[in-house]
Amino acid sequence: MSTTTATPQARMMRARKFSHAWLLITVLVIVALSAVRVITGVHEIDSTGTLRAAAIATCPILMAALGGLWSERAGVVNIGLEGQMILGTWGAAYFTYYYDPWIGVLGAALMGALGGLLHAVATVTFGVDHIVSGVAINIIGLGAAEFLAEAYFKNLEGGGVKQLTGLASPTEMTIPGVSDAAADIATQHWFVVSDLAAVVAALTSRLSLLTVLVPVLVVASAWILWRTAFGLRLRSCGENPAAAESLGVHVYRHKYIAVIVSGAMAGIGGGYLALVASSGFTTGQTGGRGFIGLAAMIFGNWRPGGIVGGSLMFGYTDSLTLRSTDAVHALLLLVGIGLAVYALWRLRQGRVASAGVLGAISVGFFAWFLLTDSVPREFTGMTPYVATLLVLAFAAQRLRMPAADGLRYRRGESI
Amino acid sequence: MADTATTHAVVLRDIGKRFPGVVANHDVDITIRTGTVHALIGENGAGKSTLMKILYGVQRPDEGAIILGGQEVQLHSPTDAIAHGIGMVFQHFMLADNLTVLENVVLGAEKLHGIGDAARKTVAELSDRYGFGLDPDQLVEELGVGDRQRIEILKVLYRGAKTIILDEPTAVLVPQEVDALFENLRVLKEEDHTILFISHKLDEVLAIADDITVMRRGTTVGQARPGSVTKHELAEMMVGSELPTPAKEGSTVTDEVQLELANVSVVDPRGRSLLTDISITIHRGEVLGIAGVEGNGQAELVETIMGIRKATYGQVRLGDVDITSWETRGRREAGIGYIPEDRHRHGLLLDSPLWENRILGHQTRRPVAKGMWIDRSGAREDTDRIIEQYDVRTPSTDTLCRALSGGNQQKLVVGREMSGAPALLIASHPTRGVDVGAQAAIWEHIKRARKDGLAVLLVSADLDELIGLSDRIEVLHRGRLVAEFDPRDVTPQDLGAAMTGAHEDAS
Amino acid sequence: MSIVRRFGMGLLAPLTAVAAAMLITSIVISLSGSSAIEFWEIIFSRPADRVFVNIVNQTSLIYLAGLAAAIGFRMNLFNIGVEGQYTLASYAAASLAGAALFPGLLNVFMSLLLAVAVGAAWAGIAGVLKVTRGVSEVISTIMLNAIAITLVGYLLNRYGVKVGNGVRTEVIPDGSRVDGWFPFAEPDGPVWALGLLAVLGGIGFWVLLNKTRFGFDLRATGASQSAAVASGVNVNKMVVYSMLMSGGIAGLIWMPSLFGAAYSYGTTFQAFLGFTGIAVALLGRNQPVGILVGAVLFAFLNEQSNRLTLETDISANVVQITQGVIVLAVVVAYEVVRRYRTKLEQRSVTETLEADKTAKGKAVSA
Repeated sequence: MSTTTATPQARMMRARKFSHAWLLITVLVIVALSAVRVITGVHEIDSTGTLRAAAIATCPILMAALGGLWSERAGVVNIGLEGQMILGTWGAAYFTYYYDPWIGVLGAALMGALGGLLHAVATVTFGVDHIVSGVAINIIGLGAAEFLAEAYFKNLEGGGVKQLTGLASPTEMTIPGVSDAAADIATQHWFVVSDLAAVVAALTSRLSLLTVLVPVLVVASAWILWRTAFGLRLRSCGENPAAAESLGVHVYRHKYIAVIVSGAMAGIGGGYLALVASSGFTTGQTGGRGFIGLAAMIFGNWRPGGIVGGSLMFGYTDSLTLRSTDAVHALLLLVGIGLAVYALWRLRQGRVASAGVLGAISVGFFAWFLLTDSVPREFTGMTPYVATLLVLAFAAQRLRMPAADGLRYRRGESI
Repeated sequence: MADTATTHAVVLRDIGKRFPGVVANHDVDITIRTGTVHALIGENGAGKSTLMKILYGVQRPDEGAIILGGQEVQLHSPTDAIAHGIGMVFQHFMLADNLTVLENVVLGAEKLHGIGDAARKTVAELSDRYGFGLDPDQLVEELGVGDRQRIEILKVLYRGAKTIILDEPTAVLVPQEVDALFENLRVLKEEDHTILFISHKLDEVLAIADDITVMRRGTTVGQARPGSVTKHELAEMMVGSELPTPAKEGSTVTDEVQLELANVSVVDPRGRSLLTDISITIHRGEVLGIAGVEGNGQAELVETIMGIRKATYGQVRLGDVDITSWETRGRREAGIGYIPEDRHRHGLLLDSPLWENRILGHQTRRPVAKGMWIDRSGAREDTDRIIEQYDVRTPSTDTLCRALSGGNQQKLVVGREMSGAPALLIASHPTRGVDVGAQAAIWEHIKRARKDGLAVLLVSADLDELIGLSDRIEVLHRGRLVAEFDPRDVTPQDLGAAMTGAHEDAS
Repeated sequence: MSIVRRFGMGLLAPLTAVAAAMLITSIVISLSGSSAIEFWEIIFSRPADRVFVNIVNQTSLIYLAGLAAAIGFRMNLFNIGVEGQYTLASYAAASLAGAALFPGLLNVFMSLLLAVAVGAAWAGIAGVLKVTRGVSEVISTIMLNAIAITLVGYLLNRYGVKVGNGVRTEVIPDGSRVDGWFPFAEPDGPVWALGLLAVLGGIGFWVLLNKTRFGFDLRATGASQSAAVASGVNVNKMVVYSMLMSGGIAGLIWMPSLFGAAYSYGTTFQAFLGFTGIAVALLGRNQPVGILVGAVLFAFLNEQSNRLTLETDISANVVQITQGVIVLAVVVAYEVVRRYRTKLEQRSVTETLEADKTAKGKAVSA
């Protein structure tokens, strides 16, 4: 009858193997990072300061990616994330100035959600192409934030036509003993130990509560989308809305909710930029992070774990660009090692051709590392985009986007 | 055990349903006994689907009563129908590939057992009880057609349905899968479920049904029990005496070969064989019919001849010319006309005016194009010619194609594909979904062109159409040609047997 | 349906959209405590001569950008990457022109050629990725935008000429500058001669789309890819060609300004035109005349709004909201009108059929 019936035990094994793989990769990354640090002597590549900056750079990208996840899981492509994020930066500034930072975060979510609502009205109710609506929302978001800034911030203290500085930040916390001790160990530059200590130190000193909120939101989103009836219904709208409708699911309603939440998430990402990543609002502050978030979501294969990985990678390279050009140079070695390991793995699988190509690229990176002293800053800035293009070009068959993603759905056109 | 059932699960009395310009159902009377498999048979367009949609609450009847378990009910939506214990399995599966079996089953019915372990347990139990053999945590995309159908049935059972409507459930199944389905249905019957089985395949109906109701032209024309009726009698009830069948005229077959496929095989990128070793020839003035259960390679065969798909092995020759490596455009220019299976997706630009649709497929040829330019006035004039000759009912050539009825759209397609004196016509289900008048007209046009020397490849699911129009019939089964018949001495039953693979060894 | 009615219906959508945008803009201005009346008075005042010239010049740039986007849109290909294509192309052309390898107008011609080639090549990457690897052009062009802009920043920093705080390419020699005509007094500035590229582009686009087989194939692919394939269109080829054409035109976007006023790529480069082009293409329904109307409207709003900053307390940025809302409102309105039109047509067909039946009398009733 059915051809492949795996027993529950086998499935459990597979799931466990899967999480083991993640653990293994994490360990490998840390060891490799540590090795590169020791070899090159560039301790900046995972110093406490770098990791702190990386965390701060990751959060807004991750929020945008999470916004993308909500929307696309319900079948609506949201390239208006950038615009919604911009609206969020303004909302955070306005509400923080008049109330407090947490109301500011709510304000950011609210402004982003407004952008999401607009997108939902256009795409769900009126059946406008998702890309078209997204482009329009980016234009509106940008214009609205600039206009609103000039209209409301011009005469405020610390304000100007393009900015509002001196805003209060969400509470920061430091775990007294641990923070100092870990930071101390981190500066000893011991192999692996110091690297782990740096992670601990980065997470225990002056950690903004908003930074804590971001992973909480990721976990909550994953739980809602994959563990609740509501989430199942929402995802079914992204996979086969006609089937969902035939089973009594209100497709329009779920799409609306998803896109509004999506906007709110992107808005919070924008708020993070204004309140934590910098000390105030400026126009153009998002710098395309909405698009990077979109890239991270694709890179992460429309899955929560994947988007965290993608955002971390993009956030990390982003933070390195600003901090140390030496570290970027050292990173070449890391990429070279990573590719070499991957090539070996491929070779073990018997995929010689692919291993050969990977190996050659890896050698290229080693050569680049040895023959130069620094990498132009701009090249690091390109990393997220180039990486995403490469993933799309060479691993597209492994990507699995929701089946009805981006398609127009009209109620009652099937059955 | 059928006789022990005294109550009636479903009674439909005097049901009528009209759509603008069409009477879909009138005076429909059906009585379905609890715990039986009741077959509803009839030709395409006999009104079976509309009736089922009425019973499932998708559409409201204009007149008549629905009585469930002795109570007259009003069904406003599928939700109402489900609440009354009626479930429906659509012919086209409504499943999300990227979700698991469990998720597909519980979707929309999460209130019953949640979506977690309790639901998983229930699904597993149901699957075991009815011998479905489904793993709740498997992704649907990994499953074959038979399993998918079982998921659909499971969905209905999970919601507590006692009466299950199956709309043409065997259309997409291979024989072994049909056997498995019937086994499932027998188990369901033993568990006191009532099954309404819609089909137009008489052998299957006689094999599984306890009662049979026949529909023709929107109404019920008779009831029967399998023991007391022959296939032939059923066929007569279904078809009636006045149903138009294309009447055959004298042979016009010449010995000039127009199309030749030599050992053509098509393998998809994943390595599955779609067509295996197909060799056919069609002569000028000959109609070659291709019979087969849907999904047995007909679409691939047509696409290979049209150049939409490339043959992995073998040769395609048009007249004396090897066209195996030609693109679609070149093949069309060389004189292949193409009436696609799905006119909305492949034959027309729905939101463009009729005259632009006249250009489609003829972009490089007169009278609609001159060199690299489009000839608008030429296209308009020639559209007028088609409207005239093929009796397309439209206000003007500027009307959007979407606004026309299915029959008129199809006449436009046929008229266009017959333009420019084609040498070969690929006609895929040329009269599907069109009204009887348009059907007769389309048959007439094909016959006339055949007389003038046109070679035709006719793919159809309508066996009468195949037998009536073809000079020769080949049967496709799982991508292979398994049997050849002379339409003068073949019955639909013979064809049906071959189509399900029964002839495979004999041929 | 009569011609008049059809024409009226064609105008209905954009007019509704503009009205909606005006209403929303007025509300936004009023809410922020300024006077909407004052705003519209300034916007609708007669432009000064200098502003008039600017509007014409800006129209030519925006129109080219609109055409570039529209070519892709007509076959449902979302080239979001116009921005990156013309940035990279502008830099390349400015570098070549500044290097003065060729004399006089040949230098101009070669630079334009390079701009087209670079724009086409950059767009072509997305086209090739789409047909060979199935990568969505929306995502790849977004990525390529960012890469192009960063790449130009790098090249400019590395090879550019430092002037004060800024960096620019070498200035184009006198002999290779193409200023244009002065319709008013000299200080009001010239209408750029290379603005003619926009005129040529518009005419070429119209002819291509409506008169040629290629244009028919393009539109057919946009209307229904599956039907186009069945009709013999090689869709993969069409994707690559139209991406190349889209990118090629994108390469020209900033050329009128480069040779007419800026003379080098640097701080004078006008960014964001690519996105404006997308908006204008949508506004004009990807039709040559429609895009022209949209381009004029956008250029007009942009230039007239400059006065706001000097004369009122209203931010000039408010016109961006107006523009964004127009775009969104117009696509919504087109969709609504489309559905309404289909309904009307269906009714008209039914009427024809009914008339047929009554004419034929009772013979059919059997």
